[in-house]
Amino acid sequence: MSDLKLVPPHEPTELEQCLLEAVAKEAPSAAQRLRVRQALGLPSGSIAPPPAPVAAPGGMLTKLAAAGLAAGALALLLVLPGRLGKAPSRVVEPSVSAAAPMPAPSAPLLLEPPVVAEKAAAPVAASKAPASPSVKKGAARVTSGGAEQPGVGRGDLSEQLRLIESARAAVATRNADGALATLSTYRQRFPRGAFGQEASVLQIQAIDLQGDHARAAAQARTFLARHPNSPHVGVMQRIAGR
Amino acid sequence: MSATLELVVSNSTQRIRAEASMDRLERMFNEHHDFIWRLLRRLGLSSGSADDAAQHVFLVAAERLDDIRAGSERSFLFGTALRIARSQSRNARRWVLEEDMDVRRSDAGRPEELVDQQRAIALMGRILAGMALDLRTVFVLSEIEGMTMPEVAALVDIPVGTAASRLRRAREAFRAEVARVEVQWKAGIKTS
Repeated sequence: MSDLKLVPPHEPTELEQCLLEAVAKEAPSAAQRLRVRQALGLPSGSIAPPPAPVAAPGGMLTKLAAAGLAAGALALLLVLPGRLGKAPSRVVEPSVSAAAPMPAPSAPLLLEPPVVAEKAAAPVAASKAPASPSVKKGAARVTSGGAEQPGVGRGDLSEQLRLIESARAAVATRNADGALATLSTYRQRFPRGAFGQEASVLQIQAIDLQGDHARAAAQARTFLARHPNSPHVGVMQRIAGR
Repeated sequence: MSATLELVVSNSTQRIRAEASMDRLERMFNEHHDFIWRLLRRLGLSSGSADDAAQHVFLVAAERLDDIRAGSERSFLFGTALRIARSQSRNARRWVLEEDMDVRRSDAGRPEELVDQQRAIALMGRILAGMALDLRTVFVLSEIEGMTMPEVAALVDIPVGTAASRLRRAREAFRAEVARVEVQWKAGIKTS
């Protein structure tokens, strides 16, 4: 049965069309794509944005697009400033780095802010693609993405996993020194590795295992402030609460 | 076969398998990353959270590549994104708009166009947030991502009739909410 029989189409209003088009055009930034590629160990390659989604026949997006009324819909918003209710203030999400650099275990352990994340539009050295048409924050949100790392190749993701798993096993057997040594190796070899958060979590757990609860709690609180949506929030909250 | 030759063949086989996995992962990224990111945004994540969540989705896929049946890559990524979005929305901060949106510049067009696109995206976010997740998912996949009903049904793993029913209800909810906004705007103009 065709879509048209399942759900009869109807004409969207100008505002509906404008809203649908706005979100359909939204896209991740080129920096975001590069960051994920690097995290996966993929070559940087072309980071030109893929084609925008194509409206399905009978869908709301097709109707007025064909009639070319989108510009008028956008104009509708131009003449209605401030009508979207109060424009409240924004809580700016902290930029999150997948691999916040951490010093070696013997040094004072401070979770320093990810330097790259705070810089606007860090140069994407490996990319020759044009800037993404995505609006707003993409260019200012470069986190761990950036210049291509020498030596990061296809086998590196497996090696990263192996080191992280080794550290995790050490923590599970309460071998804090072994875990910290492995994590130090991981940081040295993969300073912008894909498992930066996991490495940070394991390091904090290992410090806690060593008995330095105050330091572990402080670092856990820093982690939580920086990664409020991390899957590791529960573990960090337990340590931070001590 | 000698032990040495066996080792060489074994290493070559492992290398070939590893390269094939990376090729597959790259195809998955190229074909689905932007879709997953947009989906996460429409499921209520802020731009920054969607960045992180999208990375998380693909890292999970990388770890479980061998478990993903050929041809089911999008389904796997979709299911993972849904789970991550639900988990993050429980912990997420409240996201509200920035007051100084108007002063932001863009190289994508005139500043007022950028502002209005941002306003449109923000308004859409509020409208979708008021929609039940099952309706919102079907609405996003159909009306924004352009999927057909059979595609939506297969991805969400529901009967086609159920997908169609949800889309009808989602459209009604969307239309009602947009109409309410328009009425408020017009009332505001008359009183100004």
